[in-house]
Amino acid sequence: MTGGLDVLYSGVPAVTLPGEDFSSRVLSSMLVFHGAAATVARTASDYERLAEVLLCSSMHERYLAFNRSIQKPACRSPPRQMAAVQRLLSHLDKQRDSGTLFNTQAWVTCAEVAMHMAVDLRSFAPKRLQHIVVARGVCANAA
Amino acid sequence: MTAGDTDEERARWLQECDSTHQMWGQDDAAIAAYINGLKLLVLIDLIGRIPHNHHAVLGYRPAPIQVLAIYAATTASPFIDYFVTDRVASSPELSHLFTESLIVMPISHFVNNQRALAPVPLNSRHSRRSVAAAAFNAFYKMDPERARVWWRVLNAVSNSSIMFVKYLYWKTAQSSIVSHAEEHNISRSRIEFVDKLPSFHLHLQVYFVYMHAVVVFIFMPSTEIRSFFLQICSPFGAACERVRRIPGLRQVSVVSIKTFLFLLSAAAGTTR
Repeated sequence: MTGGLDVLYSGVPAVTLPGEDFSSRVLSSMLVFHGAAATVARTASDYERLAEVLLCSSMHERYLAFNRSIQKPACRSPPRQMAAVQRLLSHLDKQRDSGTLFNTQAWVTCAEVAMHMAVDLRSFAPKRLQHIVVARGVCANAA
Repeated sequence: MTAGDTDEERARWLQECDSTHQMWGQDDAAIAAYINGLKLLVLIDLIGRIPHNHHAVLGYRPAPIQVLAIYAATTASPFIDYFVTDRVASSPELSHLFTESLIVMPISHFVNNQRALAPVPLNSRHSRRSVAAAAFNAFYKMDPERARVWWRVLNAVSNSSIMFVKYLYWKTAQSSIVSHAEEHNISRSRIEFVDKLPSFHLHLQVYFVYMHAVVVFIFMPSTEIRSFFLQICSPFGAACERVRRIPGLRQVSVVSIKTFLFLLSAAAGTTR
């Protein structure tokens, strides 16, 4: 899990196919709240296509960077997808500084609100635990 | 903290906590009694059922509200009241998978301190010149279905290769993976098995053993990556170390923490 975090902090795209259990959805969570939900695959074939587009785009960029002196990649990825990948990379760079995923203070503020709610709920209904949903607004200032 | 922590890690913990309590060598009941004496309202477990975590301490109910955060699955422990998550990691439809009630955060549940740890952006977007695909999954998490997806990706992208880390039983895994790949027209030369780095050389603070089975990282190795932790074996570091040897790539470097701090200060002076 921390691996996915480090990847995103490095401004690098990650592709994931979420499952049902919590551990198989952590990277999806990071990507969605990092504004990069586009690389969360819906199916295995979707996952395959996303990975291929990212790889092809990068390889083609390398081909251009080397002034076409290396072997041209035999990719099926059209140029418009390369542009989309560039936008994604640019977005990841910006999110590192301005997004909520790496905003520790926002997380702490949200968590403190949640703990207060848990204490309040316990005083009202000590025998019955309920789910707690923290509204985005309560930690918006920190975010 | 544990006895295995370095002085540096311990100093950082102490600096970031309001107070700490020495619990080494005490049994679960004694620890629970001590915590109970602190009269806490909420007790948060940050590790869950990871070995040697003393999860059983919470079985004594030392606090009226007991919460689990960061751990990657339900504990199935009746004494844990809440599990911190978010709407993506565990949507309401999946709440039946937890024995705990959920605390649904409006942002990602995964708290981190990356900005403080590496405050200078690792920015080399303009210098991307290469690409690598890597699957850092523990071998027991892989299955033929996932592998077939990887092989199809490799087949679709010329001159690409995939890296695995030499986890436990890697030789057996290598044999199985290579033969499976060859059945799908992927030559063994496109499959790399890389060593973990020595404990004092690594790039990013990573424990991949809990990594999700179907995650594949698509990363560009010319992205500038600097190490900033000591004594954690990093598959990331292993991959970067391997990538570093590819001709034409000079951006990835392995540095000691001392050098890293120097580079950070130098970068801060020139880039900001």
